[in-house]
This record gives sequence, structure tokens and C-alpha cells, in this order.
Amino acid sequence: MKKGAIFAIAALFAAMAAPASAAKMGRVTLTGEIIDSWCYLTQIMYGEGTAHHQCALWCAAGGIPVGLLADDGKVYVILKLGADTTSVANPAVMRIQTHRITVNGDVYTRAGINYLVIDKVVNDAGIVKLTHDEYGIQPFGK
Amino acid sequence: MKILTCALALLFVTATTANAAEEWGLPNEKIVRFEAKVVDILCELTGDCPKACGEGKRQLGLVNDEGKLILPLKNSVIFAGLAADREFQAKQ
Repeated sequence: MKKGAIFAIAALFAAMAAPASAAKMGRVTLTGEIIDSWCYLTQIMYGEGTAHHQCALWCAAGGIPVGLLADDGKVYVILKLGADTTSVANPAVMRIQTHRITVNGDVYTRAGINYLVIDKVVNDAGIVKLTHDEYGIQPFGK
Repeated sequence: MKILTCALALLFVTATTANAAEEWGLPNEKIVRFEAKVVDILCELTGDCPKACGEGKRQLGLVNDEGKLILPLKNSVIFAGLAADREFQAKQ
């Protein structure tokens, strides 16, 4: 192991809660927008709707966790979509990036973070939040 | 560079490390250093554990010595997630 090699990792959630076992919150039906967790949670740029769609695709393709910003205001990190248990650069997830969807699944909460295991997308309204006129195309400008 | 394997991916941090983590320039950003084990988050939460933590297709997390599961959002070396069982310096 090469000493001195350093990875810089943005573990923004780390200090949010005391250590705890995973708690399965049970079956849920959630509605919200699929988001890029990095840009949304760090607020490094505006991270919702059409203004951020292009960036969100790149981030998802790069492996950044994709989340559901639900109508309850919480972010749920997506770990599984249907029968597909992959969550890094998953094309099926990228196809619904920025869409407003309704899903059935299970929520697990650990150390203050909500994780979502989606069984089924029961409704896909497509991209409905039109924000590019107000915010431009993030982060590249208009 | 070794590809990580879940069970063996202990991340060592020593006082001899001379480099500093890059800063992202985020509000309230704080650099932290800690030891942790790399885990497949879906495996950790549900018990669905494929070989080699999904072989790069699953989101990976860090479990520190206190048992807290930490979700890395971004890695400055390979853009996202975790990749190698080696020293690192993290930001919180």
C-alpha cells in the first residue's frame, strides 16, 4: 500500500448523526424529483429541474449517487431500481434523471441518511420542473 | 493500483501522510481524517451481497470505527465513490 496517496472524499453526511444500526422504515410510496446528490446537497450550484439536467446526467454517469428529492423535502439515496441492484452509472436510473416520479419501495435509515430500494416506478411524469429560464444551464451558463 | 475488495478495504490514515486533501470550497466544509472499512451499502443494509461488492456497479460507503455508515458523494481522483484500499483524507 502506497503511503501518502490521498483521496479527497466529500463525506458531507458524516457528521449528521450518531452511529446507529440501519432501521428499515418499511414500505413507502414516494413522489418527487430524481436529483444529483452532490450538486443538490452541497448547493455548489442550483441542482433542480431543467437548469441542472445536463449536469445531473454527467454526475450520474460518473458514479455520483442519485437521489429522490421527495415531496416531504427529504433526499432518499437510490440503491436499487426494480430488479437491477446496480446503482453506479445505471442507465435505467439515468433515463429518469430529473423526472418527477412516484415509486414503491423500502426505505432504510442509517446515520441520518435515507436510502431507497425501489421496487417499481408506478408513475413517471417526465421532466416537469422548468428552471432553465431562471437559472440558466448549470454550471455552464446559457 | 489495487482494486478494492470490500472485506479487505481498510483505509489507513497515518500521521506520516504529508499531502493535504483538496478543498472543494463549500460552505461549512471541514477536513477530517479517519479510518474506515469500505462496504457495499446495499449489502450493508439489506444483506444482498454479490461478490466483490458488485464489481464497481454499486454505491460504496465507509463504516468508521464507531460503526457509523458514511456516504461519500464525490472523489477527486476518480470523480465519484471509493476506489482503492489506501490512505485517504476526507472532507466532512
